[in-house]
Amino acid sequence: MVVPERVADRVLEMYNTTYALPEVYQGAGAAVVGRVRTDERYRILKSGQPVCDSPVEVITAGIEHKRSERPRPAAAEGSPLPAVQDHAEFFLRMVASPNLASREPIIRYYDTEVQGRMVIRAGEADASVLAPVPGAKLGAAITVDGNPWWVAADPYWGTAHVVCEVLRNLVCVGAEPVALTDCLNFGNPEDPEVFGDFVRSVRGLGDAARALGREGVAGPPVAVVSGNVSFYNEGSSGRSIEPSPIVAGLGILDDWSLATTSAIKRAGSVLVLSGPRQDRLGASQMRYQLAKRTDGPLPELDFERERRRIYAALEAVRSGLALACHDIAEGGLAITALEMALGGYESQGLGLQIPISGLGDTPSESRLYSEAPGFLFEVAKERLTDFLGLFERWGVDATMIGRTLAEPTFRILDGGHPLVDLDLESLQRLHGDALKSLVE
Amino acid sequence: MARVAVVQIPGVNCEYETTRALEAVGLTARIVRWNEPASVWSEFDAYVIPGGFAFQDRIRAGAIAAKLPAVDRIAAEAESGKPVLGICNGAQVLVEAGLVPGFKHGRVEMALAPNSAPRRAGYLCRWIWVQASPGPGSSWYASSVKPGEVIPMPIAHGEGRFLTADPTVRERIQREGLVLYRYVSPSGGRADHYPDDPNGAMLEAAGITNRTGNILAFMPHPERASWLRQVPLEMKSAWGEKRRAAVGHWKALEGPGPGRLLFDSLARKLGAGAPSEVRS
Repeated sequence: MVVPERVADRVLEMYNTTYALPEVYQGAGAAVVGRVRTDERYRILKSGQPVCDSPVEVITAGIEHKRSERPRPAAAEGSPLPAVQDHAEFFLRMVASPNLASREPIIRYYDTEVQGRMVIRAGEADASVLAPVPGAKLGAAITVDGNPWWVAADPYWGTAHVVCEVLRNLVCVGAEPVALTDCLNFGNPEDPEVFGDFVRSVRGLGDAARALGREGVAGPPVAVVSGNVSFYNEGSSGRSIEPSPIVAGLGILDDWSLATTSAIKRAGSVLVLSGPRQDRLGASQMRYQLAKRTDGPLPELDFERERRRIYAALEAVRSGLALACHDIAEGGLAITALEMALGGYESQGLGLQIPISGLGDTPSESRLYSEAPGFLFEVAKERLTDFLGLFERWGVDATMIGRTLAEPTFRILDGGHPLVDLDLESLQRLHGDALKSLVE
Repeated sequence: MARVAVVQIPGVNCEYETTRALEAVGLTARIVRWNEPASVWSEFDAYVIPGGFAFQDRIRAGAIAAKLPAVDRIAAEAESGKPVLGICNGAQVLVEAGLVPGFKHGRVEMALAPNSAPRRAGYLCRWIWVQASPGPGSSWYASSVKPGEVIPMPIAHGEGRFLTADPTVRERIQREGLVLYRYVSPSGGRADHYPDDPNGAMLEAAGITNRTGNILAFMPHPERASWLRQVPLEMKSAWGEKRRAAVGHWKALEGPGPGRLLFDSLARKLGAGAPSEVRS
């Protein structure tokens, strides 16, 4: 801590007497250990003798170290994915996957209520919402995301996808994205391919942050205000971890009382999809379940279209046109829809039905499980025209794809035939319990 | 106006919102450090030890704080009937100080043991349901609670399981009606399984008082349920409906939540203001 000399005694008193730190914990307490100099030198003395006496800029300039880097060799083309034979059975396998299961068993080990500021908790929506200033309407939304499979498959675009997911999560609760921070976890940087991943990942992060500010590349970026790099993350065999940039986002709400969750709110609403489903299933949860592979082409990402989609969604949530909003990421449309039906911790006893025949001509597997960026919204029937008009003004797609039901049923139809028709109570158990056995 | 001391022990972390929750029911609350001059304690009409991790929960949660001179002072003030409320870590301090149940002066007769539930151990944070079950001569700490009313509140603890090795202590606690608040099912039935019974406490106890009823060791966090905003949006029950209906209405969301009933009971005892109408 640096304080003006005239208040130093008062600061020492606070630490050492008022809060009695030396009595509370061994070695705790405050002492004056140095002074700010005006000659731009950094000096450390021991018993009056200098141990270090250096120009400040030698220390602050940083150290440049040239490392070699190269891209990973492209993975060999795998055989095409087998088609899903029994859609209901496959859906249940996806729901029970630890990667897609409810995070509740982990969240319960953490204090979601600390300081009593919560408005929306982790697990109830795509981002948590806090009321940080007692008596004020100002709200803060926070989310953290990462997907090592995406980044391993394509470090630049995989990381860009992670940034997009962060921003989508923030606008889902009605928060304007304002800042990002990151923790970039990689293996041994002396390995040119690991460092190649890192270089591409950082570029993807920066480019996404620059492109996805409200006004796009012409305007200010979503600021990356801090970050952390962690190298040499290796298992006992010496194998590097999957490249894991973890990105956190902060969003601001002018009025936290308007924040909404991802759970569907009432029967008889319509479900609206924004974000076309792509027939690119690389690094998707589906590809892993079907072929135990995590490589392959990621969904295409167009920063400008993604930006418009994000801010259209923000406007829809803030204006109350969206009753619920959930981003599409891991597990694709099918898992996104399930999460909206289940809610965070307590299902409201409502269901939904989605006919996927209207979703383009990609295979039904892609329509259900493509991890292409997008949103799923719940919209009141009487507001649908306004809702679609809003998206048209932003120049981005929005399509009505289903409706909510008064009974707890989860139904996906293709050409009139049910692919999945399951009761939500058993789905809730499956989804809720899949992680339990691993963490409890 | 009645003055309440919110006791700031090194490591507690709920003192500010607890102070706000007390002020919301018309009390004057001040955060008082554990090491303030001994004479300060007699200036107050009631004491609240808030939640947190006093002295990092070293040895056992609450064990070190229970030995503080400040806690002795508060215990002495409590002998004249002044209210003392311990919330979560504060409850652990009161039990470790031998103030609850307090059958034998200064003796630790009970513990708050690590949570116990089938196939789950450790810290648990979630909303649970409690009900007041006052008997004849029971404490006034539930005076604002209607008979049978089921109150949702969050818990956040790793050691919340009221337990005693002495069967006569348990028997007396039960016989004398000292379990003022119990965990119940959402409909008010017996909490006979996890998570209705979140920690395996004896007698499903969420809050136990001393015999004179002025000291309450309470494991849930009423200050985290004192405003409607804090109630989870998805909660079933009338409180959940009220929360959902208030989306977009900032003033309504800044209104009282279910936990305020406990602070209202305290305000009523201290004769402060008119208790707010806290109802779902």
